Amino acid sequence: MDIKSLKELYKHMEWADAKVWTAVMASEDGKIDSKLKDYFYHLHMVEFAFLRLWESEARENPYPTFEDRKELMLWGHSYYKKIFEYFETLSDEKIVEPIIVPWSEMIEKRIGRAPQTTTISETMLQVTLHSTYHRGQINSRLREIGGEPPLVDYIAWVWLDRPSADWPFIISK
Amino acid sequence: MLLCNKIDEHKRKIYKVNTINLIYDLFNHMCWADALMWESVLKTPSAIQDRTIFEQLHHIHLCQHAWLLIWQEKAVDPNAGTDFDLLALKQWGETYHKDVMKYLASVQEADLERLTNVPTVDEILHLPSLRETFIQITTHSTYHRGQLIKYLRSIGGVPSQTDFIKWVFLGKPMSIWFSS
Repeated sequence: MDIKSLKELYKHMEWADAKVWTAVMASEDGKIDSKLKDYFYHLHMVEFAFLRLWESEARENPYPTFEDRKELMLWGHSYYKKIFEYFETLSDEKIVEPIIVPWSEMIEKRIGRAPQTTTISETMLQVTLHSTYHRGQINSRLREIGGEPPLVDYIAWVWLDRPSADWPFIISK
Repeated sequence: MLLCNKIDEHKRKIYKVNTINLIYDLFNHMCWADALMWESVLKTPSAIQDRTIFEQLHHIHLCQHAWLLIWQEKAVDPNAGTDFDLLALKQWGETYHKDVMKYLASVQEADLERLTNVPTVDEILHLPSLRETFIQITTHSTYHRGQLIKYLRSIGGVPSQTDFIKWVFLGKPMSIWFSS
């Protein structure tokens, strides 16, 4: 695995996260839907959880909680500054190094055996795929409640020449 | 029946730090996850005749087949598979994974940045590289798998977890396609 491909996946992830947030915030029902809020919170919490792992930050520190959707969105947005700073510390050699996952006991219970060794790059790929999976569910829920889900395919981002993320309520620098 | 993880270990070792490893992982995981998704569907009685389930599965496999045909510079039939029943659709999906692994075994690292012409797409759009189209189809399947699993739960199904990291923790197992 190479760092260039991973970084592109994260740039797409930010673009796609911003697109779905824009669509949800443009929907009167979407803005107040509790299921959408739960999906977003889970998506962003997992993004932050793995960043903590890579940066060896204490796992026990509580995550913030949000009543306000805009605050939740801003939390999600704040992740990207941190993750792209983290990318600056990585190299192709570094990302294939093994990483110890501190919640391996929980994993062992779930999969019924001790987990195999994983690498930084595999955990980084997990985050983008996890967000893609739940973004699909967010768009599906948005359609159920009458909203208009955006096209967030990786190929659409490529066809559009890999645009920067355009977050609602945030003026790009 | 075991189908996936046919990319030979020798090739894996040659390419330690490169993109082709990423691609192999994405496709092998996709095969494993699709097999689990099908098992979850076939174990849910209410899903067997469900039109939404059929349409979501069909969309996933239609796009997988379409991209394989594009890579092979063959014509794409946008209506392929529409007249299948559920089990024929499963067989079509299973066959795809065997075929795509054969195709990927012929791809070299140097091929990955080659631009890929996609028929019927507006020519003002930027052409993707072969690597980017590989990422597209594997992430597209993940996205729609998430939607299908959400729907399956809503009609009483108990779907298996298909996270990439679970596949890694399990030692990147081969896929077992469920036979009902």
